[in-house]
Amino acid sequence: MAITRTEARGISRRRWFLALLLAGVGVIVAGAVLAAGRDGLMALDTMRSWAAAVYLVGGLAVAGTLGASAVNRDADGGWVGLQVVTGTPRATVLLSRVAGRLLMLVATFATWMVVAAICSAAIGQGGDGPLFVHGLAMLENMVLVLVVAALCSVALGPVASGVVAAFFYVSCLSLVNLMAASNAEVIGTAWTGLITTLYLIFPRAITSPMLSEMQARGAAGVAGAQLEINGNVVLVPAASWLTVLWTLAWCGVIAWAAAASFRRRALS
Amino acid sequence: MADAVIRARAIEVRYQRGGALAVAGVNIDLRPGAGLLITGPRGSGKSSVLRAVLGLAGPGGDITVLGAPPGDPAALRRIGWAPQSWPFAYGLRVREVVQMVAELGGHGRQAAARAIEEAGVERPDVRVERIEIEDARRTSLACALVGQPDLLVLDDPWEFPETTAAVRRAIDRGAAVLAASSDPGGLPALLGASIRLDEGVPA
Repeated sequence: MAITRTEARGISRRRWFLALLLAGVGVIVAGAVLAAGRDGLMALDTMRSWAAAVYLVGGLAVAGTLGASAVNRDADGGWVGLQVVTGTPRATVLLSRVAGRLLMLVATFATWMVVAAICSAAIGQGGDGPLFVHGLAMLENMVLVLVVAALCSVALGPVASGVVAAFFYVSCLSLVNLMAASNAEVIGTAWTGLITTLYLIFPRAITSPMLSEMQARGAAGVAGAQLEINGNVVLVPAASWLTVLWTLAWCGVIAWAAAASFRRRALS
Repeated sequence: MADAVIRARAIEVRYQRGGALAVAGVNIDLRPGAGLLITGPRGSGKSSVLRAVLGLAGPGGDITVLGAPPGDPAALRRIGWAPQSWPFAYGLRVREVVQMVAELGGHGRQAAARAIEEAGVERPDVRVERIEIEDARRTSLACALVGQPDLLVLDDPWEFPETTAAVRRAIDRGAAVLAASSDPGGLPALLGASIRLDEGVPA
């Protein structure tokens, strides 16, 4: 707990973290101001799409940076070595460092989601439950990004770790989209077997019911462009509970892999 | 405490797994109440020897520290480690750094406060990115002094009066002290024995 608490405390005071957190809040509020000038569904879509953009772009920036800093620089600089030489098992050190970062990711999303709910209420849309559920879905996606970045940071530098994690997330998202296209029979049947196999094995990006519906209408903006293949609009369905659990399980496996690979890493 | 605190034969450290040797052929026998200084120019492998002893640099030679192989968690809890340079995560206050080390080692906040005082840290509530290098070295020393360890390992310690006093106190109570420095000053006389490294091998 001491490492988790210390890491979270240190990160909470870092300028880059506070800047990203506040930038997200600013964009959500700006979306609400814009939505206030519109009526009905337009107002709701504006509020939701701006908040969803923050959850995606801001979430990727926060989760990628948090995960990518889990090991490398602190290990080369001596900070991780200082934690290890206290007699704390290496796996515990790594998992505690990741837990501290997860805590800050949850705090970030909690802040953004509360601000979005307040803004929705302020423009007369109520607390907006679907947007709240979308926030939870994106939080799980970003937990995946964070643990992948943390795994990479055992061996790679921070920039490479963040980039690999972002690409990994895009791959998981693509797999979900391909599966939806395959189910809609808008891509060649020769690929169906491969896509289904990959879909069943790998972690899947979580699509919320709100995003699924907005994406189908082409109203999700940055958070989810309408999926169109060969002139056909493909509906990407909301993730099932099984998918939610499957991706969570993958997060656990990746965190375990990070702890296992950290055991032999040289430290300063 | 009659057994050797560190017994190492033919310490080897590689720059990376399977890579070129950074250190080779270093032997250490360090008993309770004794000191050993590793000297040599910058880049000669002094810090690598300390890392090998602490189990931070991977397997390298026949090494026993406090009766266990390097990196053994129970043995590490009996070691006070002062890393070189500026080994702290930004965003934290000096006091929080030392408190974390104390808590992980099973010691209370009083042990951290005592170590901060013994190391002569004057501004423990300042964040580490805002302290001068002198305070960083004192903070590092404070981390090593938490809980009166059986083995003090000091990498590039600056020779403050507090450093000298802490080393003397440790040796007087039967702890062993292993230090590495390229600019040893009065440390050789204080620690008694020394090994000089040149390009990774004993000179």
